[in-house]
Amino acid sequence: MKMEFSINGVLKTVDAEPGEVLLDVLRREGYKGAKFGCGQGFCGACTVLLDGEPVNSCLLLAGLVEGRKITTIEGIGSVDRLHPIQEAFLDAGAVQCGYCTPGFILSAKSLLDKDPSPDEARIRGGLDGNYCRCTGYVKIVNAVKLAARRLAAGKGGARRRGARR
Amino acid sequence: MCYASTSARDVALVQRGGDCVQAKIRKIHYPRNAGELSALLKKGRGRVAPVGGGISFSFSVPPKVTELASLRALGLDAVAVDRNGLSLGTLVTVAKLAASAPAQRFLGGLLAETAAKIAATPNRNLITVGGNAIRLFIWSDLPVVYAAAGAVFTLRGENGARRLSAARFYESQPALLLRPSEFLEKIAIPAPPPRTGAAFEKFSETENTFALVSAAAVVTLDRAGRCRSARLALGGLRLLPRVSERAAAVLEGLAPSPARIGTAAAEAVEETGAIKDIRVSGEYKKRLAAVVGRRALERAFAAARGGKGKGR
Amino acid sequence: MSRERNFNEVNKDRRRVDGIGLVTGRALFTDDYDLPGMLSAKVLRSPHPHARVRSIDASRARRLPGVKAVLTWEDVPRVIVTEAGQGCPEPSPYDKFILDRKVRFVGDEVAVVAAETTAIAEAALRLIEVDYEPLPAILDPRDSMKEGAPIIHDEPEWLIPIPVEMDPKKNLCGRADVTIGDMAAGFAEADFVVENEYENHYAQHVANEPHISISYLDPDNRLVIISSTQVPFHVRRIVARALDLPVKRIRVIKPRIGGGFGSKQDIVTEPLAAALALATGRPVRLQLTRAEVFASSRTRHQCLTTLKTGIKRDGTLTAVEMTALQNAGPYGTHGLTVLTNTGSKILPLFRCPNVRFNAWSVYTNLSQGGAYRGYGGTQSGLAVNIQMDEMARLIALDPPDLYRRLHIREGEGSPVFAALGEGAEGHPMTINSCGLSDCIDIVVRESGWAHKRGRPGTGRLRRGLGMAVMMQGSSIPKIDMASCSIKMNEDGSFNLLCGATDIGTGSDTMMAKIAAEVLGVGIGDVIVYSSDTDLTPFDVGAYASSTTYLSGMSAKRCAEQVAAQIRVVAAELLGEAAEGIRLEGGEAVGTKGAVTLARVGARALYEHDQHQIAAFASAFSDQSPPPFAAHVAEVEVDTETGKVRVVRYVTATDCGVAINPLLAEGQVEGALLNGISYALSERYIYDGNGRLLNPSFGTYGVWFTRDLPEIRTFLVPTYEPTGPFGAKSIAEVNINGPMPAISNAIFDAVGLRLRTPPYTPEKVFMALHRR
Repeated sequence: MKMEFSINGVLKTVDAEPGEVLLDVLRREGYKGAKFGCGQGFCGACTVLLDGEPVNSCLLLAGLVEGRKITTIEGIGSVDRLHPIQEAFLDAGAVQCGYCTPGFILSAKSLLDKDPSPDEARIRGGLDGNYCRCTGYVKIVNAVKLAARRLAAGKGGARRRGARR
Repeated sequence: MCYASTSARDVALVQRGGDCVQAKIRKIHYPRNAGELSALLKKGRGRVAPVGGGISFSFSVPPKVTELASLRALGLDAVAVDRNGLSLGTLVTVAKLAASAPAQRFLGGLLAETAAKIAATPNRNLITVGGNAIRLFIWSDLPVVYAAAGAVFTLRGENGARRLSAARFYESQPALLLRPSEFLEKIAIPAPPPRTGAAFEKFSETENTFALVSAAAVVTLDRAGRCRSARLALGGLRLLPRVSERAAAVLEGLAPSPARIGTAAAEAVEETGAIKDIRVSGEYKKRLAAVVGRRALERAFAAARGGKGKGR
Repeated sequence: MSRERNFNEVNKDRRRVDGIGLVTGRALFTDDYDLPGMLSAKVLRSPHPHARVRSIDASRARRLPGVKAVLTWEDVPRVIVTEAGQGCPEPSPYDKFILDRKVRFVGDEVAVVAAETTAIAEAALRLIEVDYEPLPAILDPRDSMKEGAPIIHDEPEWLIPIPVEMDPKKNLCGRADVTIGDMAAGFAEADFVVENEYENHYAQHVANEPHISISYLDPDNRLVIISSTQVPFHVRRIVARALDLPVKRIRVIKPRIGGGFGSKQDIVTEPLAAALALATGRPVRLQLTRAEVFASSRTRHQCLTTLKTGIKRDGTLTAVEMTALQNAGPYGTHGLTVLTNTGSKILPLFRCPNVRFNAWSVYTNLSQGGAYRGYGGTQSGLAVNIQMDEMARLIALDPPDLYRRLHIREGEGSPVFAALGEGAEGHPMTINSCGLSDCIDIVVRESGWAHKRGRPGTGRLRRGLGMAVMMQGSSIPKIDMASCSIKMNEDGSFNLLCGATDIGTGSDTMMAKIAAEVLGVGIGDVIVYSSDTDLTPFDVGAYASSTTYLSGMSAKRCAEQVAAQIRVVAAELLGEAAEGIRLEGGEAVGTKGAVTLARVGARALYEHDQHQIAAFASAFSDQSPPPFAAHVAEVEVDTETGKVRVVRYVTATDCGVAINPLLAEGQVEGALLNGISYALSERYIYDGNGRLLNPSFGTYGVWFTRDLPEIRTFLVPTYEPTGPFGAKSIAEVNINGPMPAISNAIFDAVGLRLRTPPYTPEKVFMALHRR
């Protein structure tokens, strides 16, 4: 059946089976940043934003969210111009294997959009559905704090990538 | 590897190992109103299931179901409080309930507090109170609160609406109660009398694993500080939540002393019993439930005394 | 080797070289490859713990529209292999056929299907009819060697390629028995003899990315495997053997990997994916579900350890006798080597003249043990550190003082190093770098040990502190090998090719940093491509904490050779001697002037005496210099429920010079949290028939952000002369601390000595209320 979604601000019509979950539809359409980790809505590797709120796309039947706004990691920053949250994750050492990273960045974005200066408890609460085995979460929490500070100061995001050191 | 939930005798923690949902669901309907939905359900004769978030289908698809009917167009996503009490449309997400200002004030915030403790952020953005109420698992949280708070469930079908008490709704798996054309429309919690306090307690080994036990307590004091009503429901011990009569018998009419509260919780555990759980022994579970039940009662009585429970 | 300390890249925090792809979600993991015509594969798994397969009827499955192949044991070469990703000859028994007519655990592979979609493949599984003859099963390692026990490996083809003691008729797949000194005399000398039993439990790595591989035939009919693997070169060799193909016909490519921790050090999905690719002529993707990862990939070995120690009142250890019975599971992957490491990763840590390690690894029909961060050191660290706490109390010495008294120091060796190798003789080693005393000082100070320990309080919530110290290794001496090649481009940048396998550890970044340091450039000028068996030189892969130490050394040597070639060309350009030229800031700087590396590169490629500036280097070591760490855990025990909450956890690690300090801390913290949840909540729950009942996040207790305790991480710098720029490895060591440190903290809080983790609320509660 044909379904229509807004994905990263672009209206797309896709072909999908009635029983397909959003994760599979997105990945087939080329949005590979959302990952399969458990298929049961626990690990958050499949996190996307639905109308700005993080959801497990592995649990969500695509046919139930027709017409709604979906944001994937591909809609956050670009290789050329990273979003401040992406910069913060790199600078804080919060990225190891990277499998969980898109999910965490989206959850962090949703959190910071609603609460620009969250305390530690709020940060942990906002990220509580994203699993990481590599980092032990310490640097990830630091990254969100760093992103919050930078966003508040209006820095970051405007920097072009340029030549790497 | 798809396991289906087995009988109530055994706690088979339900797993989905593959593409059960994708394989089984052949069609999604989008009824525009309640009438169309009822007609679809009736015609489907068990093949069509009403769906809000559809999350529980990732655990198991009920036998015979091959089609879904989305509730989205029916507009049942409001949280409303009036002098009769709190009303939750079936499509209200757990996240919305947790964040709802009226729900945070009502009954000492019992519903909102419980909702905030369910699963994790992305799950809460998808789980609807309706789906959560109907597709019951032994670890479900809100059903325990519905029992303690005396919730009323409105089912709507081709012949109009009927209201069921929580006791009736949870006499057996709620899905079995639904007549062929019916769906759950809303859940209402009656406004509490003055000097009412409420609390929900939950115990799990880690923050994200399923709870081992939980307890919801709604208590009312009389002017003299004696317990007028004590409704304690324990979760995690058996599938169907129920208010404990023995706990009420221990507490009602008397001042709620620590000793009586402890006894009430213990009695509730004995009355409820505990079905087999692969994770912990029955003995530990019961002792834990007595502690958790006691803590819920203590907090509820403190709230009743502190005047916080009178929420509107 | 001089102690270079003024680094430009090494020991400085830099963004990882592969970071942009990861934070934008564009980096390609195995599942992100779309190949035209790709089929989905599914595995039919045994419902029995032990059974013969009398017959398999796959005819209905084969007829299902969309099914392209169904393979059973009759359809694949009958070649016995080990699926352990280790150097060849592997110190693991060859006891597996990729599909067999016998199954040895619930979840064992019986048949495999390739179909147009996953749904069709699953439907096909249900159409395969298998006639099993169930056999008695062994569900407890204590039963494995008993008289009359069922023989799990009765296949005549079973073999062990190295001369070690194993006996499948007794279900024995690993043995170590080493005695140093005189045990009887040692115990006789002691003022206190303490003997206790410990048991560590099954656990899973729970890497974010489930096991997955894709296999296809390229246009020249070579078999290509793209896999989430830690060991691409071992994959190539073992798949070649299993499918009776020459190694040269196979290419293995490692894309981005979503974590491994040891679970992907074995050849788990590749042989079946490859067999299906050969059978169908189409690309095949085999991805495990999360439940399959739990039940049918690899686990940490369960181990029953008896530790008998003798100590004098002054804290001198007179005798240490460790006896261990390890549950290998149905196949002996890493069974012997985890066993020997159980001894070798802790026994040298404390000075003692009389030491015995007597251990067995046995087959059972439960889950399959494999490599898992810590690799035996986790198992023995549990026993030794708890017993140290107990002995310290007996002789009224503070544990930090006892550790300080006993631990190995720079300049010292231990007879255990030579006595206990990895399935072979060990190698003597002298410690060249050890910051453990500093580590101990730091954790004592930062935890508030002096004023908090021994003060549990009197309420419902009790607090306690506990300590542990640990060591690991840096690669497997004389067995592991790493190599690297570097070539120079005309803009002064370099391509570095290495076999070293970045599984999220940041090894690509580490290799770039080391090369950049030597070549005098920034890491942005070193472009790394790793782990492709056709293009990159050999590396054993990411295990044994070998990458920084060994692979890094190959990068350093290679870069030094390239630097020498650069100096020759620069010398010619500058008209001065090559020896006087330094490489720094992207230039070759002589006494008379400087030229940019771009100038050098262009000249060599295009202008004069044209040649490719390039080099190649290998590294192996006869040393495995241990990183050291000390931990203090502070816990709070809720005596009403038994719940143990970690209030604060302090760790200090000596990894030599940290090539990338931020990433090194990240390794510490990841290993640590894994160890903490392993100590408190992770566990395998089986039914009476060997079936795993909790193969799901909802019931297997890994931790998320709301569980995270306060963690304080310290790196103690030392200098390891045999390591690149003074580095040792860091990836594993910290996972060995939490089980004992938390147990010791629980004892401090409530006086309960728990020796069988996980310390679940039930376990703590029942123990508290039993007494």
